[in-house]
Amino acid sequence: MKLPGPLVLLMLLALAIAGCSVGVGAPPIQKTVGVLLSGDARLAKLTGLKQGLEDLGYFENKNIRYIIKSAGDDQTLIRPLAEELARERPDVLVATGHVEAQALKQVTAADKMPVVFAGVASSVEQGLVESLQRPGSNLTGVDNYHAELSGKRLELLQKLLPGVRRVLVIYDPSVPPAFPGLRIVESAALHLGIRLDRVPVTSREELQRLTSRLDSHAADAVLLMPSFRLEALVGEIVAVIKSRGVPVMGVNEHETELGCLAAYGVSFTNQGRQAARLVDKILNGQKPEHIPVETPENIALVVNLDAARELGLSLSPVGLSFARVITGGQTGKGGAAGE
Amino acid sequence: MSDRIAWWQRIRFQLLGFGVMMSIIPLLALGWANINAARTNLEVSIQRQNTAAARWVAGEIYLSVKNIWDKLEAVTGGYGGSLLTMDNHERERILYSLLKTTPLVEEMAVVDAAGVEWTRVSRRRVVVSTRAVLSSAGPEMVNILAGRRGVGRVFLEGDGRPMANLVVPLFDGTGVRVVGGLVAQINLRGIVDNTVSGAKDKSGYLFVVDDQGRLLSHEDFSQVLQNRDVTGSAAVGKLLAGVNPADLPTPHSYQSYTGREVLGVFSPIEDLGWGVVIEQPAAEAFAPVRGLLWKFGLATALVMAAVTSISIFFGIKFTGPIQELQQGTQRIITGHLDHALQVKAMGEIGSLVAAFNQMTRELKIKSDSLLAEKSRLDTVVSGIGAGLALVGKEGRINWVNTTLAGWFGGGENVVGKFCPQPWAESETACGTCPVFSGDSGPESREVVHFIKLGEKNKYFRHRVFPLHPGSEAGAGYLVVIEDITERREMEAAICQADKLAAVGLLAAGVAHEINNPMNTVAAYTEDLLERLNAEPAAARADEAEITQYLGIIRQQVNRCTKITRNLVSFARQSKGEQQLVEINELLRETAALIHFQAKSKQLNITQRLEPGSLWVMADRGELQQVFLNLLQNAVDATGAGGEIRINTCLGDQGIDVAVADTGCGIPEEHQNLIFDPFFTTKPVGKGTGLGLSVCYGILAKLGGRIRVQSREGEGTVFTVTLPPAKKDTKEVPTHEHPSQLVDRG
Repeated sequence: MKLPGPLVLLMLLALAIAGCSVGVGAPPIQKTVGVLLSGDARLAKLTGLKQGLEDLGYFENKNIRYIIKSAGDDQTLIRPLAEELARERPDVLVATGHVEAQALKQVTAADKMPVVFAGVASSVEQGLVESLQRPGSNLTGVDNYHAELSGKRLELLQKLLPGVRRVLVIYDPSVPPAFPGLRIVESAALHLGIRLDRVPVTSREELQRLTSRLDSHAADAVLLMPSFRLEALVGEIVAVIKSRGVPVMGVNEHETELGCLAAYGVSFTNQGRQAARLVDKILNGQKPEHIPVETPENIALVVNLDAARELGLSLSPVGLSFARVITGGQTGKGGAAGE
Repeated sequence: MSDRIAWWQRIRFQLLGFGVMMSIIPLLALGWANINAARTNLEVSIQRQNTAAARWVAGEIYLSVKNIWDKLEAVTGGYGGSLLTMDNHERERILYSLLKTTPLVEEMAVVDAAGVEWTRVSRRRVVVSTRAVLSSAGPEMVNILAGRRGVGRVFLEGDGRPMANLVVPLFDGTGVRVVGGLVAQINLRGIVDNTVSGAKDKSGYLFVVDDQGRLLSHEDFSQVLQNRDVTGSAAVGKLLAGVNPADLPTPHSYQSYTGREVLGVFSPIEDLGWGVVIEQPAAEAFAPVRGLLWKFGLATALVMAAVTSISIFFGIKFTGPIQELQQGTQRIITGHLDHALQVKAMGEIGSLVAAFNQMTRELKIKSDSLLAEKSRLDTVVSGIGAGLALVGKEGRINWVNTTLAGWFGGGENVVGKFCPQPWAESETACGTCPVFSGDSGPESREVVHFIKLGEKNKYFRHRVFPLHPGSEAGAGYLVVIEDITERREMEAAICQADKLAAVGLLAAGVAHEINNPMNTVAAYTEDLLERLNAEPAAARADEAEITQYLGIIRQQVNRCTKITRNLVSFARQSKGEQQLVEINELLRETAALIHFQAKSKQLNITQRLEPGSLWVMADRGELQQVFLNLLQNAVDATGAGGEIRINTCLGDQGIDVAVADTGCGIPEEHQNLIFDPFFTTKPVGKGTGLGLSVCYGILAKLGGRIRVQSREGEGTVFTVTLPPAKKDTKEVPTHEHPSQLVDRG
């Protein structure tokens, strides 16, 4: 009596599977996170996100998998990449900035896949969410409060340089946070006794206008308003301004490394890290519309002492007492230092 | 046969069922016990872990708050009342420094004892006014003025974050008098989130309530924003009631404020009056148990598949040879005795197969032998010359041999009918038939039936033998039928020959017998003629005398007629028809036939007959032939002057007719031969040697018997015993063996 081969195989397979299923636990369920970046400048947010998720127990390639799409600073690629990312159907999508959040909001309008934005300015004004407390749709995340902090930024500039009376504000009129931010700055300036002068800049070509404005209007300092375009031009802007011996108050921490005297905001890393907590909530089954948009918790004043030294500025101890001090960057001296 | 076996009765299915039961039942029992144990352990484990997590979170929150308090007190302790007197910039510097190193503090302010803010620093807001006043009735100022650290009100920031004010008092240089205080606005959500993220072993959701049960923070922050009332949860109730968390029952399950069944624990936060509650929805808590159930189900299914496969494997392995054996048996049952099983198996099955094949070979040999025997038996049965029939116990004929079938024009004319209808043309059972009488004795009496088959008269004699009388199933009867027509005809011919011979012998006597009356007739006729010639008128006138003469003549003629009629009647060939015959009368008539011979030998014939009539059922001619033969033999054997006695009497055995003579007797050595055909001691022309043989045959037919007692030189007595007549007798039982018929004295 010969036993058919397939039966023997089936038998062995069944025994093997039975043994495995009884003896070995099922592998942990792997979650998938899709991350959309407009360019390499946002990589720090991704780093922060991964760190934050690790702190919460998600380890890459063990119980979490990242699908990362970067447009490489090419705005036209963001939408197709967003669509591509959505087709992969990750458990949650992460937008590392405003344009990414807008693209993901559009591509998920139908299926309402959860989207977490890791640091956008004026999320309510930009229409990403209905309100901070009740986002109301499939998007939630971290509002970096950069526009709202513009007034505080001006105050802290004055805390560092108490003699500042005239400030040139560079803003990007093409981004939604620009005007609310300007209103906040103007309100603060009124209380602080500072005279403002505004210069719109949306592209590299308009830098010339900035130069002529600096030449025609004396300014004690320049205040940068939040804008992803200005972020990309910060190095050039700072170079132009510093050449006129004027200090620049920036938004993001890394801008101090590009020559800004100081910056007040949340680092990209911290934005990503804070967004990780929201990603975790969604992975645990909470609905984005019920998760309030968070505002930043690790806002830091960073001061580049070398920049101050180059400009021959003497910084007030009141301002410095609140600041994290660095040296180096594009100021000519290498290395960063603590306070 | 195999088609009649239900699938569930087959060995392989029973083996399969056995295997599955033996593997699944223990698995299910163990699995059930394990899952129950796992559920209980899980409940205990969850409660233990969550209690530890709640305690840990409560501790962390307290430590966070205490850390801030400590920092605030470090400043107030270090600067004392000078915080109120120093330069505002310096105070600002101190507060900003503190703010920088205390991330959970959103804003900070220095107030005097009246609650008036002197300096305020904030992370987000642009501070434009520093002259706000804290209410002296508020918890902040109550604590400050009481000279102790404390917690103020909880409130929501514009962006929805819950905030609480921590206060520490500011003493003057004496360290006794409160001159003001330091107020720090702390971000509760930040504190809770930071600590919750560190509670790795927690399962379920966590929330923090204040001393009134109000929700301060929740992992699902929308609950805070909705201002959910969580006091409906038993854990919150027990927290507010001051129950020790260690006293909670296990499992502490209840319906939460969400309406869902939860396992809940809590831990109070030291000094703050707040509490941490962790609730794990039962559905989620037991997800691992459900997972375990799924795994167990999967494992059960797989084990079942494995066991089924193994059972099928061994079922096929074990039952394959058995099935082949069964199929082989089927083939053998259908007559394929040449079939040999080709099963290659070891052990008992192999041995069984070998034995089976051996048995089949033996069966084949035996069967061939049996067939040969049957063939021989068929030949014998067919050639036996007798008809054989098998009759069932109900009397129906089931089988006939070729001889019997040939008699009746084919077996189909016989089989299916009831015995003895084919050979008796009647369905009436024979009187002594064991088939219908239920008598299962060794055999029945022989019964002879006469029927007409076509144009021919046929005599059949049959005898019934019970078969397997002890077995209900195989009970039946063998009927042996003989066609005795020829024999009967031969017997009749012999009988007739004997009769004619007797007639021949009687002829002379009869002639003498007739001669006397004829002489008388002749004498009277002569005398009458002479008288008529001599004295015609006178003679005519004497009519009375003439009438007397004619009367005598008529009497003598009648006598002659009687004698000749008697002879003719005797000589007539018997038709075999039975009728009532009166023995005494027949003996008288027969004695008359022999009268002349006796007289001529001067023998004295005496008759002593039983008074009355003695009736028997017989063929008159045949019976008369018997008596005539006996009387003839007596006359022949008795010398002159001898005596012949004829006696009849009704005895116990029947009607006895004795013919005794005083003749020469029969030698002892001849007594056994006298009934054999053609045995005679008479000289040629005196006897044929058939007489006693015919007598024997006739008496056998009549159910009678004949005995002989003889002593040489003294005489012989032949005694015939006949059964008295019975009404409606149609059958004539016979006995063939001489010992049953003949008694020799």
